[in-house]
Order: sequence, then C-alpha cells, then structure tokens
Amino acid sequence: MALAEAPRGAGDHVDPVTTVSPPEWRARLERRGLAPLAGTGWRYYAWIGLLLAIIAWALYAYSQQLEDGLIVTGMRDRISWGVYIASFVFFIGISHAGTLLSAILRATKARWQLSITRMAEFITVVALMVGALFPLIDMGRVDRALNLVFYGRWQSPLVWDILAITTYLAGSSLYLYLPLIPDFALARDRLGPAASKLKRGFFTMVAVGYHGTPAQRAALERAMTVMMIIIIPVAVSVHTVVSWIFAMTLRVSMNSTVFGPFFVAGAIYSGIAAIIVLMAVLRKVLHLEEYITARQFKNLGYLLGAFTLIMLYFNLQEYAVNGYKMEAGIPFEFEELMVGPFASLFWFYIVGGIMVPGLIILFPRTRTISGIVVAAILALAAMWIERYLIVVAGLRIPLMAYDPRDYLPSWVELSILAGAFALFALLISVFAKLFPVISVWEVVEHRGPEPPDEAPVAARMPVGAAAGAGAE
Amino acid sequence: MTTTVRRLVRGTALAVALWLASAGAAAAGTVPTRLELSVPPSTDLGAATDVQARLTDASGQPIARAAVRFVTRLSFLEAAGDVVLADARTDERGVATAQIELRTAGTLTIAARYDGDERYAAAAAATGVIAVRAGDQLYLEHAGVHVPILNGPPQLAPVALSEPAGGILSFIAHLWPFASGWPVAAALLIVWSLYAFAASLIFRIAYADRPGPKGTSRPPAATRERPWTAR
Repeated sequence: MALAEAPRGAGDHVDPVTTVSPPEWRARLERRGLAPLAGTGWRYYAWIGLLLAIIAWALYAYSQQLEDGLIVTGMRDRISWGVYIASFVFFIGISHAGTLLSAILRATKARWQLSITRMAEFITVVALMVGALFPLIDMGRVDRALNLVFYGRWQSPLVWDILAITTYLAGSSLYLYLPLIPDFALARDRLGPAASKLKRGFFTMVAVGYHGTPAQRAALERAMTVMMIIIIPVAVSVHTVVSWIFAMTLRVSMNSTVFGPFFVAGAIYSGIAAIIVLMAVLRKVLHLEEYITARQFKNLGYLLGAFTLIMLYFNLQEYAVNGYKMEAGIPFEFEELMVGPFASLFWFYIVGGIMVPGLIILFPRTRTISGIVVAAILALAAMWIERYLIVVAGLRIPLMAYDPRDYLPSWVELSILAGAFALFALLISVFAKLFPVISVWEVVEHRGPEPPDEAPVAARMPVGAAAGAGAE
Repeated sequence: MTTTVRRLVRGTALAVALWLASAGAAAAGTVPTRLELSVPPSTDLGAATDVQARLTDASGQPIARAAVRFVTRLSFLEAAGDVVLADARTDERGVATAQIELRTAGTLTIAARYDGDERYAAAAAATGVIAVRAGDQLYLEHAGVHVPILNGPPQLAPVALSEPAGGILSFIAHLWPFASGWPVAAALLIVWSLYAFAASLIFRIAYADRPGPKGTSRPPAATRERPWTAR
C-alpha cells in the first residue's frame, strides 16, 4: 500500500503538521504506524475468518446452554463455579496491565514505554469487554442479570463488581481515546487516497478537529492528566472488588484478608505478561521492530521479574498462615492441591508459572526477547490456572458430610472459553486496523529514535527491516 | 402424606441399620446395651435445643462416661449420609445431653448412636422426630459493613419475606438501600465527575481555535513553526 507522500490528505487547509518537513525516522514511523490502517491483505481476512468461525462455534455451544440450562456444563450444586468464573477473573486481571501500567509509566515519565502504551490500553478495554461477559454466561438465565439492577443491594460484592467494572471500562475507554486523538488527526491528514472515503470520514470525525493548537494541546494534556491520575485507583479497586467476591464468601480456602492485594498483584503480573505477548505478536506481524526493541521487552521483563517475587511472597503468605492454623478444611485443601488431583496444576503454577519466569529473567543469557516472551506465556498460563484453582479447588472442599465431587469442564464450557479467546484476538485485530498501535505523536514528541546503545541489540532482532512493505 | 411415609421409612431404615450394628457387636461377646433417645416434639428454627440419650446395660444399669453421637440422615440429590449433629458423654445417670441448633425447617429425624467398646456392645436408639417451626426465613437485614449513624447494626433475625409490590414507588423503594450506601455512591460520583470533566475537554479540543484557509483563524506563529509532531 502507499501512504500519501504529500503530508496533506483530506484537509483543504494548511495544517501545522505539514509546515515542517519531518526527519526521515519520523516519516518512517508515521508510515509504519499508519500502514495497517490504510490497507488490508488476504491474510488478515483469513485470520478474521478463523476467529469468526471459532466464535460461531462458541455461540452454538452457548445456544445449547441457553436451551438446556447449566446442566450441559460440568458445574453442579457442589462446584457451582468453574471455567467461566476462573476466566472472568483472568480477563479482568489482564485488563489491569494496560491502563494501570500505562498510567503509572506515563505519570513517572518513563519514556521507553511510549511505543507500547497503546497496545497496553487496547488490552485493557478488550479484556474488560470479554471478561465482563463471563458472569452473564455463568448465570445460565442471562435475563436475570436485571435482578441486580432492580433488586441489587449495595452490600453485595456482586453489585460492587458491576459498578467497578463498568466504571473501569468507561474510564479505560476514555483513557484509550484521549491519546488517540492526535494520531487520528495524523491518520486524517496523512492517509490520503490510500484509505477509503469511509475510513477517512471516520478519522475526521474521531479526530474532533484536532490540529495541535496550543489550546487543543492544553485541553488534551489536561484531560490525559486527569484520567491518568483517576484511572490508577479505579484499576486497583476493580481487582480488589473482584477478590472480595471470593474473600467475602464463607469458604474456608477463601478466608483471606490479603486477597485484595494478592489479586491486584496477580492481575498486574498476568497483565504485564499479556502486554509482552501482544507486543511480540504485533511487532512481528506489523513489522514494528524499529520501535519495539529489546529495550521495551527487557524493561517489561524486569517488571515481570519483580512481580514473580511479589507473587511468591503472597503465595508464601497465604499457605504459611493457613498451614500454621490448619483450620477445618485446610488440610483437605492442601492435600488436594499439593498431592491430590490438582497437584500437577498447582506445581505448574508455582514452579512453571512463577519460579521459572523469574529465573528466565534473572539470567542475562535467557533474558532475550524470545526468553522474555516464553516467560510471559508461562506466566499467563499459570495465572489462568491459579484462578481455576482458587475457584474449583476452593469449592471442592466439602461443607457437609459428603464425598468431594470432581469438576470437569464440558465441551460447552471449553467451546465458550475458546470463543472468548477468539473474541479477544478478534477485537485486538479489529482495533489494530482502526487505530494506530503505536502512539506516534507521543513517540515523536517525547522519545524520538531509539538510543544508540540499543541499536546493536535491535540489530540482532530476527525479523527484518523497519521500513518496507505494509502490514497485511 | 407421601412425605410422612418417606420419613417413617427413612427413620426405620436408620434404626434397623443401627440395630444390626449393635446386634453384630453383641454377637462378639460384649454386654448388650440399650439407648433411649429423648427429643422435644418441636423447636424454633435456629433456637438452641437440648436432646438427650440414656445409655444402660442389659440389666438397666446406667453406663457412665460413654461417648454418644447424635446424628441425622440427610440426603440431597444422589448423596445421602449421617450428619453428626453433636457428640456428648454420658454422666453418672447414663444420660448424654447435647445442645443443637437446627437450621433446617420442617421435620427432622434424629438418632442417637453408641459405638460400643471392648466391654459394651454398640447400641442405637429409636429415632426421634423434631418439628422445626419456621414461618420465616433467616435473613440478614443489615448486612455488610456497619458504620455508626449511617446504618443500623448487623442483626440476624427472622424477617418475613414478602413479594415486592408493583409500580414506580416499588421501584424507587428498591433503589433506596443504595442510598444508605453513600460511601460507594460518593466514590462513584467523584470518579464519574472526573470522567465527565475529562470528556468535556474533548469538546474544548473540538471547538478550540484551529488553523483554517487564508483569511480565517490561524494558530499563533509559534505553533506553525513548532508543530506538535516536531517538538
């Protein structure tokens, strides 16, 4: 595809953007950042088709659940939460990374992250959209969700959860949109005939007439500052409230006063891992090697490494305190987790999902891009498993004199889970087509080209040239 | 009627099973024992209720310091089993007393059981039936965090559940509990107000002075020389 070389696109006026000839790297950055918006190849459509097929299958599975009820799942009276609620917590968890991390790093003026903030914010919004579906799916009778509106009690953690998630989703969407405005303006002015009329019309509308005048800049920066500050406590509150759904339930394994910070730490841990994985995928697919370098991977890797220690600490705290007291039910829980039916999952979570990623990041030899991505994938898998263990292993502890029953997700649950991941990938793919995945204007203004000391590392990247063919 | 028959059958089955267990022990050469259960005919849901069992040997002499277990048989779907309500030891009169709080309304079949030892054979008592009265449901009227002045203290009391009345007033009434949760409401108000403020700045961007064709409004010269992408 060819982006308009003339910096003036649909505009019929002299744009300040066009008054200075940009340096070569900036022009390259703009081309690279806007390339996915301009054209679409067959591989993209094939990818979307595959995702839609998986989602269609999941919808079929869900229709079976609607028709026959929750009996088609593996959930029963004794283990009444399963894959759905575990996935809900997982998705809400990874939604943390984005906005929270982006806001913290923006607030601390960490400029290395400017090329990845957009992706992080995508993750937040998309993960929230997908995660919020799971409680509705888990309800069976989805129409009864309205009961929470009409009969909800403010004392109920479920009501807090709904309020927190909707508040976070609204804030995250706004926080995603604000820094997009200058990039929308860029797309409006740069894409030219490379984009369809409809697309240009869309960019003109969402750019809200932005031209970078001092008044506009001041308003934008003010709005971003407000959102940056407010979104941090909102993000923390969301996962704290999610943890309270468990911690305020009368279940012995969930009797914990540190579930709030434990969940927040776990959410940030899985969120960082999600950003690393998405960063690696988009970097490869959209050829962003020049802008997402080893520096971003290493810095996020350090953060991930720090959180492995925090996660170890919280796990030690949980199991040491409960193990010391050994209240009724705890011996059963420890046995099923450590040597019983969940032992393989539990030890994978502790060793494979926390210790191994920490070690990968600790040693310089393994602290490469591919090493960090492997650590992130392990962390993501482990965090899903952790949620599964909290939900299923926790509910498996008998409350009365009956034998513990096992839970195995049915094909319906697994299909819906696959559909959720496909929906996540679909929304990210669509977002990447509609919005620049790199915050071009922030990279240009605040960061500039990668520092020279990173150049040799960047040169070792396996995949090719920074400039070149557009993304499919 | 059917329910009564089912309960009778269930109670009889429990008694027979326990009797068979004691008979087996007696056959092993231990002294036969006899256990008599005494339960009140009715009680209130959640109220502390005394149940007693008297353990004697074959000659009617009380057996002291023996462990007696009070159980009830519960079933739910495919699962069934004896649920232990209480354990107690017999006194000098051979009487074991336990205090139980029943949390299930309706009639409940209770049995006492003595598992025996090397001297005495196991024994099972005839079952007793308690009617647990509960026209209401246990309902935590003021759940959640108790903040002095703001809301009432948490109290666990039987409160009759009633169907909500229809109409707009009922709808408002259902929203009323939220009003007592003003800390949540205040936090939400602050957050959403800040959102609204940030969103309002988008309008300021949209209607701010912008460059235009010749002869119309233009940004200051400084901006033209140092556009946003070049700073």
